[in-house]
Amino acid sequence: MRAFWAALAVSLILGIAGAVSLVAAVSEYNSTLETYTELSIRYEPDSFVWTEPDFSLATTRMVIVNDSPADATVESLNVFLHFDGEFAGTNYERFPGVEVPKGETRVVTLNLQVSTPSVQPRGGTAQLSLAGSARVKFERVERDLHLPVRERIGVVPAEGS
Amino acid sequence: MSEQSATTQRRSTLTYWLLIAGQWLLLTLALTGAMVRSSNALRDYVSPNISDGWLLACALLTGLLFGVTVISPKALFPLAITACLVAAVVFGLAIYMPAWQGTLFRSNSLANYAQQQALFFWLWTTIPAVIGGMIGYLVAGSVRRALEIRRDGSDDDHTPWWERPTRTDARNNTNP
Repeated sequence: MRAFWAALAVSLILGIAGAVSLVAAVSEYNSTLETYTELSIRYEPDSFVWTEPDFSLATTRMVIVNDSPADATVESLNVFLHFDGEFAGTNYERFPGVEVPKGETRVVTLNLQVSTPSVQPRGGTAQLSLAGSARVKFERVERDLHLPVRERIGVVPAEGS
Repeated sequence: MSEQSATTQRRSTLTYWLLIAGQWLLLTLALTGAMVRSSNALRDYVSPNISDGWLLACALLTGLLFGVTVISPKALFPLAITACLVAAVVFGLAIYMPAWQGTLFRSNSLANYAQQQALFFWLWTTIPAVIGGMIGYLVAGSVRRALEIRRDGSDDDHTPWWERPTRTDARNNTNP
């Protein structure tokens, strides 16, 4: 009987300590991750250009700003081009990897290829947007982080039209 | 046995299992806290990070405490195993939480990683918890019996406390 209540008392102490530890750790995990995700990958306004008049190829520039507390390397950047929210194409070329020391900015150019023939004629009139992810390796962090990339471009007619 | 006595006994049994449910919840929280603090997955983000030995000790202690309080082995081992399972699931969800919040991209690799870590921690803690449960059950059983023999002067009554008649029951039974 006494052992029963003693075991319950120890369980109570452990449970309270565990709950406090869990809440503190999860909150610390989220806030630390948020400081790492201060690395932003944004679309450079007006940089999207159709390089083929049939809307099959385009180029765009992305600005990588590293406001995180650590040096970073963007190891891959996969962006999907959407016409009015519908998948149209992506950057099929292999991304070379870009080192971005903390506090610095890099600009990368992406070649986008439209690979959905059914939506291709709408390239000059559709609302364009980019969605995808970047795999980033931070100094002092063992596991790579996948950061979301989501940008609205707007309507971009073919050059000369 | 009178109807009132049976009702009292049912209430005592219910109280006992409610206490065990509370203990299960507390120990599951303790295990989850230990998992989050000792995991390599969160080592870069959470400090202090304790060694795996503490997690194993916590799982063993969880089993021991269940072994002391839970008299039925049919309930003891499922309780210990489900405590480890639920703790591991909560731990996996904690790893994946930033993806839900939109901080990280919802990638399959993160989901798979969280699942793999949860499964690993479940197995890693279940073994010491079951061993602890067996030790606690055997040791507490012997101690409980020894204490009851010393108190009662005989070893005839091995009825657990929540099944014994209360003083009120005894009075009611003696009344004509």
